[in-house]
Amino acid sequence: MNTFTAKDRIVAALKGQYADRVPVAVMFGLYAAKLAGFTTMEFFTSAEKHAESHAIACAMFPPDTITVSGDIFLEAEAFGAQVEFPEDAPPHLKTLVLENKADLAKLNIPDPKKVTRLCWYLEACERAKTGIKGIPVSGASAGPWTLAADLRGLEKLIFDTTDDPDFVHKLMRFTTEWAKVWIATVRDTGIGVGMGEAAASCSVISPKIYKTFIKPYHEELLNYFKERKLYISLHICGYIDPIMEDVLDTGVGMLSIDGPSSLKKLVEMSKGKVVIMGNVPTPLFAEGTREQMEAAVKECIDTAAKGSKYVLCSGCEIPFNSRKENISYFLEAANKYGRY
Amino acid sequence: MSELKLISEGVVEGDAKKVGELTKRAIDEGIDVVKILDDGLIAGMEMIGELFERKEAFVPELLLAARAMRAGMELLNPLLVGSGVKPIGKVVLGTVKGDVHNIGKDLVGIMLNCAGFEVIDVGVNAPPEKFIDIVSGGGIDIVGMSALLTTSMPMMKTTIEALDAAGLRKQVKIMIGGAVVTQDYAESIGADGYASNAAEAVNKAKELLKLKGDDK
Repeated sequence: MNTFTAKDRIVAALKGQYADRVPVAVMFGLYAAKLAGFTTMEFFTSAEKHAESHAIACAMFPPDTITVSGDIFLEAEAFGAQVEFPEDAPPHLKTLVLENKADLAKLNIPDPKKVTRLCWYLEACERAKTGIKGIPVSGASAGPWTLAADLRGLEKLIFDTTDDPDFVHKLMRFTTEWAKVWIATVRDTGIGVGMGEAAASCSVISPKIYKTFIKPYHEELLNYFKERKLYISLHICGYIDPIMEDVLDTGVGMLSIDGPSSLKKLVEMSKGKVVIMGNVPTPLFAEGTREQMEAAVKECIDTAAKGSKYVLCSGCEIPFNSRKENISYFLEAANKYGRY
Repeated sequence: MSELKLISEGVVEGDAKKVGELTKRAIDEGIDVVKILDDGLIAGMEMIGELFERKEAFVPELLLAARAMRAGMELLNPLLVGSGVKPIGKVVLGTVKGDVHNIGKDLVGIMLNCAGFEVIDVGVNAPPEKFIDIVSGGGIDIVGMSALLTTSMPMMKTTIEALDAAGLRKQVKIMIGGAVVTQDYAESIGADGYASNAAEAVNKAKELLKLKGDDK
């Protein structure tokens, strides 16, 4: 008899206690649209269909928590960037708002409820919260560095860190102030919030950049929300081993890491102080065999689940060409190896 | 000699201004331009490449080093024409259709360039026809494709198939790379080589060039 609910498992993991098994999550992302039979455009423009896609994904592959993915350029678009939505691929940026640095002075922090696309996302969050029963729902916000990179262009921003550090700090100040407004607004829909820093991976930045231009702003944001009793999680894509110590140093309470990063290192470094999510490699959801998926899940659980404070999760959003049977392999393996 | 060492140090530090000034001085002093290129600029790029491979340098340092090297190259290029330096091979390089990520591809291009390859960059979001166009023009040794997204990865296979259908596959070696790409994947789609980073890509390209020579 299974008497534990999804919420019980998540709460237990947050408190360092034990339910029947390790809680699981899958970042469905755009793949949820595919599961629900909606087009990319429908997924990214209709709040109803966006929420329904996640509800359908949850019904097909019940997780213990779900993130309403939104789209990663949502905030950049709110500041005037043009985003293209290809038929069968994730959206990408067509224009940069801060091609010229001087244009930063012209940017203002908008009222999120007066920006169409942001309203779309807020409505999707509300709908997901009421439509998905029994599973804790979270929203997503771009981290300040990722938004800075989306506004300025990552390569330019990297050069700016050397050529014009003052500008980078000004831009980070702006995106940090915006994150305070936006995260609070998403939170007001009644769901949790995770902050995604796709562009803070060491696949693209250096430890020096993290320490100088990102860490202070992460610390500020996390503290700002802690004072308001809101505990936001942080997700960084790709490889973060060289900055792991600094990331933990920000006081982050929940950290989600991607397949290329070392779960073992994070478990050792965080010493039970941080709730960890991750880090089953996403390519396995598209191309892995049952055996490969089982082995990856088992390794994650063996590495991280012993002291609770762990949510077994795909390292990042699963690929658009994922396979249903592979998600089943993932959940089956979690059930098989995740019992406490 | 120590002058050239200063140039390579400037490249490693990513200091474009310093590299430009030192290169100009070296030229004015009459140091052989090929020597400035090899023992100054390229030596510096090789050093930063090694640091990168040892995870002691990261992508930003590579980008800065590449920019510093370009500052020197701009001064050397007009003088190198006619100096008899021939490329060791010709590469067409691009990020495949459906993917607009350029940083990794650009770094591979710069590193290949430093190693003596001529690089034709077809940019990002490059459809198979673009690669075919260049290869059918003749003289291409290697086709290099990049993809950062799992969604755009299959386009690498499509491009290889398109080269095959156009009867051009056997003329070239194909290498692929990008955050989501693996050696296994390269083999599964019939690519000749895979590299996990820009420095490795140079070694792989040289290796493929040798194989290509053996084919003849």
